Amino acid sequence: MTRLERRYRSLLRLLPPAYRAEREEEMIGTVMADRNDELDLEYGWPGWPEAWAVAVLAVRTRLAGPGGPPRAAAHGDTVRLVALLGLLVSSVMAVAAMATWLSIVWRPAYPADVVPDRWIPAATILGLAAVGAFVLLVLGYRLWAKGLALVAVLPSLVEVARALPRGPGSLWTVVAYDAMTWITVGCLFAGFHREAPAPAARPWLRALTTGVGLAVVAAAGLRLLPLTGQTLSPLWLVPDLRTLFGWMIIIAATVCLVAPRLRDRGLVGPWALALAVCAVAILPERINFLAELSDLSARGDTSGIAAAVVLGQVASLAALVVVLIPLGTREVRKLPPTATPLAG
Amino acid sequence: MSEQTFLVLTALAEGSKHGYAIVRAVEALSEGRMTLRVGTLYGVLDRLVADGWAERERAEIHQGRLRRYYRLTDEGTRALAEEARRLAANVRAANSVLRTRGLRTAGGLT
Repeated sequence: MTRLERRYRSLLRLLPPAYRAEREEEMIGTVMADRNDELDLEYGWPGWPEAWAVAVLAVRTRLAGPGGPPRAAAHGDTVRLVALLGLLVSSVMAVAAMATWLSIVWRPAYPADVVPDRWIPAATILGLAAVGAFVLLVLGYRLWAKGLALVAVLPSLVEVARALPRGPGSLWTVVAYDAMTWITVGCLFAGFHREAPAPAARPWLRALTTGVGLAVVAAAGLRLLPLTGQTLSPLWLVPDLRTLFGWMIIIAATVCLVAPRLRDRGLVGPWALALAVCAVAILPERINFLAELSDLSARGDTSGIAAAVVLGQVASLAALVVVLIPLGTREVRKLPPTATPLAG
Repeated sequence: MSEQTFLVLTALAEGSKHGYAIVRAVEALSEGRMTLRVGTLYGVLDRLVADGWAERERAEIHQGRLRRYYRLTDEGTRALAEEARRLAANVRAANSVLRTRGLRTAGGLT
């Protein structure tokens, strides 16, 4: 075996084992057919375009659509669920951010030092692209959805650039805050390839309208809360959407663990894994928030109740991750790794 | 239908072919504009087989390498013919517009 062939075989390891067992020799035969130069056989490599093509094929085969092998389709469903849940949350957060910003700007009694800088309105408006991305995705316009999702992720990249000169502490805060956004975009691009099934529009749109309604109510709630000097009331946690999102993951994960109907329909695996990914994605932000609340509590700027609530949430999320990952993995592994045997 | 799919279907319409022969045929049909990477080729072939437009035929060993042949199904032939008709109609429409503006068309006619 030449070194070139060895390198190409290494590249093909990106593909799922079942696919490789079926296709590796055939692909090697095709790629090696016109590579006869001895120098090339010794020192050449498949090339970046070929590496990219194999990587794309690997994503498509590992995160298959309904026509693919059941196990790969379950992995694909997991990634697509993370993308949908993440975009849903980003959409609701974007609407909440806009509503909150408007409420802050228009609230005359608000202390001057918390009036946002000029970047905030721009970031808030760009963030609204997530709403468009979500709606277009569930309506079947994937390319546009991906484009808008990239627009929506821009503010977080700017935040990283702004945090870099301020040191690792600031950078960690930004990374913790935006981890879910980046994971969402990655899952959107990886999971919604050409063969991916269209999500059911109605339940997802219903979830969006419910979430947006909740965001508006939360923003109104912020206006109603008293601003008593430097003291932070634990009531601020009620309209805090990230805290609400944490509770929603906990409730959904509990339903996933106990609902037999999900198990009957083979949905437990993808949902358990998707919720575990979401929980892992929001845990850094929750931990960061817990540290901030603990500091405030230690200084007497807030009661310990808020920190205790968030601590409970962090512990619940961590416990659910520990339960959901083995459960989801076990359910997905029950599915066959290959589709019906290939003909010929 | 993507250009890659169209050209692979056209290559298979000439007769059953193995992977390397399809890559060469696509390059020739596109007059060198398109070089199919092997990863891309098998993605296209997977889709064609899943849609019932192509099917796997015999496999053979050639100079120690596995070659599997693919052939167009009747459904694939119909899909290719329909796409060719659609593209031809588009070309006619574009040529007609270009002629009315006095511009040379792709075929070199005015």
